[in-house]
Amino acid sequence: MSKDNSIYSKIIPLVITMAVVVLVGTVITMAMPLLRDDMHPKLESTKEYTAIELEGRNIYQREGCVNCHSQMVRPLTADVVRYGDYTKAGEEFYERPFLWGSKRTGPDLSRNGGRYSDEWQIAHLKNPKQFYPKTNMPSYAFLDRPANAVDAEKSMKALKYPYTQEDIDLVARSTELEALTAYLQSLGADIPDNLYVKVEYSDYEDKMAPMSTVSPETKVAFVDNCAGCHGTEGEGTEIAAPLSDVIPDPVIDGPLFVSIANGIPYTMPSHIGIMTKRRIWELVLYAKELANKKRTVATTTNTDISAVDSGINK
Amino acid sequence: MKEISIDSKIVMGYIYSSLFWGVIGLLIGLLISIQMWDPDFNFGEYFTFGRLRTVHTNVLAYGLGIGAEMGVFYYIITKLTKRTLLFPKLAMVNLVIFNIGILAGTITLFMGYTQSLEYAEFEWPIDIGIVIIWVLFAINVIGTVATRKEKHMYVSLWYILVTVVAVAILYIVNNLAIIATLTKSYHLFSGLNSANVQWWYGHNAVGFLFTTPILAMFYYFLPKSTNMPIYSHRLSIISFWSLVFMYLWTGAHHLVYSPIPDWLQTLGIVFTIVLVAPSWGSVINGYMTVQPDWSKMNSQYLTKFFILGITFYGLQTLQGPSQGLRAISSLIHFTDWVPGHVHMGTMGWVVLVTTASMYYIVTKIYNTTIYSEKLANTHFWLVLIGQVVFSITMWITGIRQGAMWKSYNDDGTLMYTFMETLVGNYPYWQMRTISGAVFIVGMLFFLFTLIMTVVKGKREMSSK
Repeated sequence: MSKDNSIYSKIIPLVITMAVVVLVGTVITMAMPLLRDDMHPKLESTKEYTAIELEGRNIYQREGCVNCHSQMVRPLTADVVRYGDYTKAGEEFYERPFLWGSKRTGPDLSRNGGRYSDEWQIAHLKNPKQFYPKTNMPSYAFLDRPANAVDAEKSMKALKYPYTQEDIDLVARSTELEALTAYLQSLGADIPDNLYVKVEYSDYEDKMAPMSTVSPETKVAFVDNCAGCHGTEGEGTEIAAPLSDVIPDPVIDGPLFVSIANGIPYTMPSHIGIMTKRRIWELVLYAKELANKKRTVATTTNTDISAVDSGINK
Repeated sequence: MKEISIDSKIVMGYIYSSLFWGVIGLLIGLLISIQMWDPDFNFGEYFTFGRLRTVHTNVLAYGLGIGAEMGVFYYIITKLTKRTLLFPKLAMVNLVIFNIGILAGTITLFMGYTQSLEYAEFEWPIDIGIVIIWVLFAINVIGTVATRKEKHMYVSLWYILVTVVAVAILYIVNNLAIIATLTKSYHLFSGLNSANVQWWYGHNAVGFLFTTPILAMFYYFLPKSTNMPIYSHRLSIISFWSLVFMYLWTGAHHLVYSPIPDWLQTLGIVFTIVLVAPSWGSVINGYMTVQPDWSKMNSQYLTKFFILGITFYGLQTLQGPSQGLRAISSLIHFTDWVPGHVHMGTMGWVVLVTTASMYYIVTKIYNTTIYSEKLANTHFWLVLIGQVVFSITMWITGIRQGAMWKSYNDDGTLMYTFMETLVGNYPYWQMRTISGAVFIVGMLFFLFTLIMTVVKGKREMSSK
């Protein structure tokens, strides 16, 4: 087959030819994009990480969170309904490396910022089973130790991100859990108000009010989705006060419905993506039932409707 | 008493080293498969899934995969060039550096020092070590081939040469980084380019660590072990150049529905589909080689390893392109389907061909016959069954979870919470642990049979 003087018997030309052949696709699909503007967009709202966020991101990388959690919401209905607005090219400007991941063993986190409170994030990292008894996420209680301010400063310098001594001091007096939480709360901040589906106050008014029964499925949904913070009987936990405290008496159904559906920033996640309106309405009824049960045995405490109100304005 | 040659000692050294890392990597794989369905199997800081998953992939890809490839390549090269290695001492020194590098790399991954780039997780000091190891390897390979005694260069040598060239380019570019500390660096490329460069690397690392090297072995050992010439040298040439050309265009099929520009995604998908042709060129070449006498499947125990191996390569190179299609990607991306796909390639194609090559090499080096064909066959069946059950289980649960993620209620809200879709995986993940254990038992049969063959060969040598 091969003649004596063919390229197949001359090693140097052969190796060079191979390199050239390999480089054609490389240049067009990898090198050329490096020079293209459409590969470097930046949103106006996209900012460098702060020192504590970067330290948190370093910890996120170190613990291999990316092996289970994606950070890339695809422009698919199922993705945006569950997680929020799809990932924009311009959000990625400062991502070194990108952390989109390739496996969603746990949920996507790119819209995680502001969905929960800091207290919830830390408690969940320490013991995920407290909120989701059947989860496979390991405990990260060992992160309850001082963050590394020296390395955080070196990282800020290497990346040429602006920072002040105060920023570094904040890292120095934080735990790794707190730094990681700061990072998790920063995710999706470039796209404010990124919930894709929301309910309006009017959704409740006309259609929901006539319904008055709580199905067994709703009680299961309460245990699965609400009990981690509110307690199985609505008695409250260290994350959330008893339902009888947070649900005013007399109850304002509409705001409660809107709050459970759309969530309350930095307090409670939204549920409208993963539950029917009917189910959320039944949860309103069930939560009222649990709160009133509590109220009959205890004296009514001061009601604070501000948390509920903020749900209306969202 | 006769001694084996220095070249043979080098080959055996790499084989032993790869076996060692193989056992470590497989046992960690078993542990993390259990962690998937029972988080109580995460122990402390160093044995959590997030860190161990990286240890598993790197120890097997680099420790087992590259170690085995370097050893087998040195064997093939000395045979095809009809000479001894140009720098045997260098190869020995490189073996030591290689093992120090993999050990250091493994420890640093346990410590959580990672670049978070799949299959390029090692931090920059380890990367420098890897580059040195690869350059030393390249010097020996290219030097020996350049000074060969046989004018003709068989196709296996091309596959080896292109592996050497491509891996060097891929590894160096994707590991370019901004250094912060000794243990921490940041990808030189940011955002979309970070993703695009990584998957250009990630996809082609699979191509040039798990495709071209294994094809080099396949093209050499299939004719050798069956005593039948390769069906078509011309077909192997066409397959070679088209595979090597097209592979590099396809990385973006890992980024379907991501924010990278559509033209880049589409280009990646198109080339992925076209890549079926050269892949199947080798598959057909393999089948047609055995075509004159299929009874070899029965009479020559190694034949079935190679034929089943190339069959899984064929299935892999059909399944892979299908996954690149947008409609299919939207269902299975981010699910267990993808690990199912990867493990068919590694546990099916790579392991069957590599272990069979090792059997062949050991019997030749020690001028003996296999210790027990029965045990080798047991190894074959356990590995085959373990892998098939593993992959199919993952595909089913991948589709199942992917479909659950997309199920809607009548009012357009989603039917399932994430947790509901997750817990449905547990029985399948338990099945994966069982099938993985079957696979590992098969690999222990391999280990035992191989080592007993060496012992047998040494005994025969000393009695001569």
